[in-house]
Amino acid sequence: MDLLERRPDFIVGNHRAVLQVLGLSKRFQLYERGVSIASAHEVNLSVHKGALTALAGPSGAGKSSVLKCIYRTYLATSGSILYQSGNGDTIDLVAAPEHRIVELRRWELSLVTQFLHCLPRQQTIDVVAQPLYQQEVARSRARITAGEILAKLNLPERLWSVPPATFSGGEKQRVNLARGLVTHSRLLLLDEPTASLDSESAARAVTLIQEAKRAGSAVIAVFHDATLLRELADHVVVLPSPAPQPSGRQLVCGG
Amino acid sequence: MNKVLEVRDLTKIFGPGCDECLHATGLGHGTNACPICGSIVAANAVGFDLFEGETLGIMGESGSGKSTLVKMLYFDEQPSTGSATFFDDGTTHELFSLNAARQRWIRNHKLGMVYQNAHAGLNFRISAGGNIAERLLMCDQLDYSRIRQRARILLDRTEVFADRMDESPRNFSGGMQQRVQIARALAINPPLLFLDEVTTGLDLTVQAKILDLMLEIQQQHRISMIVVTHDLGVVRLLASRTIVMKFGQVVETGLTDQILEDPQHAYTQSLVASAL
Repeated sequence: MDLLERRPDFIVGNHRAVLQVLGLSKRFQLYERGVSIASAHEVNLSVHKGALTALAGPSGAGKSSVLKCIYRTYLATSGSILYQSGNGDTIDLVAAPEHRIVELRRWELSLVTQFLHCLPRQQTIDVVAQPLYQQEVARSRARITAGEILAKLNLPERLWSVPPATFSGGEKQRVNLARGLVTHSRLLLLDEPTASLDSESAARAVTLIQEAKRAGSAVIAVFHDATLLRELADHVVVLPSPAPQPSGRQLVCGG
Repeated sequence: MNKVLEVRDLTKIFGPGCDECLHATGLGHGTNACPICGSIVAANAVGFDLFEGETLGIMGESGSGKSTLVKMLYFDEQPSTGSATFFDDGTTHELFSLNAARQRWIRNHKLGMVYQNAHAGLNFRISAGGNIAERLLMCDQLDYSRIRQRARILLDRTEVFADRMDESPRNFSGGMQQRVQIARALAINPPLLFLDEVTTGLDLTVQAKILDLMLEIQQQHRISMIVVTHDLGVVRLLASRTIVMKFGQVVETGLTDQILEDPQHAYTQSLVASAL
């Protein structure tokens, strides 16, 4: 893969970077078992408006952990994550107060995880429209927008009024992706967004991700598929295998 | 994001209390009973902020002090020390410095509470509709037909059959009693709502309906809520941020998904690991 490069191309002080991750490491300290689990180690990357930075590397290198640290589902062990918000502020997502993160999630930041987590008993159309409801878009307007994006992802309209609990893996993933893309976030984090999609749906997903880039979203993504990576990525950051610890018991997990 | 409530060093000691109470109890000591004087430290210098439109979860096992915390904020219990500042429409109220009449006014006009036990939140000697009317009357709404109409709307919204509004809540199931409590709490559109274990002890299907109602309220009003629960599922559904308490102390605070997926403290890790 000629796109692959060992070092990210970030330039300190480059104002166009929407996000700069500097020396980010994540370890899990599990008290009950008395173990420390290594995940991402000394990760550096940057991502620009309208561009996609892909995370690559072996299983266990901490690709998902990096995304979750940026979204603050995980607390970074060390390093900083500098985010340029829409109003021009630079915010370190590692240290920012929680209510600030809540606001950023509402207005600027989306994470699409590998599995769909949503409120139970909620219709699919409302699951997808939820981020718009949170931005106080009128319900009827939000549902129209949600329907448009579900149609683009080829999810049959007869499923829209049903909760996604009984959906197939591929259908759930389309709902997940639709919800992540519906607000045109300034920073979009995608964790294997096409992993369980058939080729037809995957192609539609690629088109939507390209649209999101054109609309100005900065995207960080993990792909399982090298073809997709080549098609969508502007930069690739390869995470090394976690470094072995000098002493103590150690396990490896994450991906 | 505007701050609605700022709680600092809030402490509640049940019993005589001594100089050692706060130092000899808590997580590090494995107890909330003072070994010197035997007092119970229900809340030990608890502090947090609550923002407009936000739902904050307070999670802990029985005896962690989580209920005492909201009871102090609702003036059911007097704190031993500490402060709570309530920001309302440009006015600032130091809740524990107000006189009793002002506290009652704030409680009647600005706060709502739903208790685990419906007997604590409802008057069983009067009808379900009467319980709502009482709340409106305390808030200076005196027109009979308007009160009745408001009660009907609220009971409808909370899916209590409005044609049963003249019955005593005694005749209702546990789930319906909780909904009457919620309707009563919402009657005056309070900016700040406390929910103390509202789904505990209810059947699963009823729990689901109550939680759906809470979600609907959350989405349709810019109401700030504090949800006290021992149930991880409830904070996962409702709260954007969560505080974990044990033996009267705050163990950990964070975004709810972070607390559940990457808990930092040994106690929180064991709590999350014990979830069904």
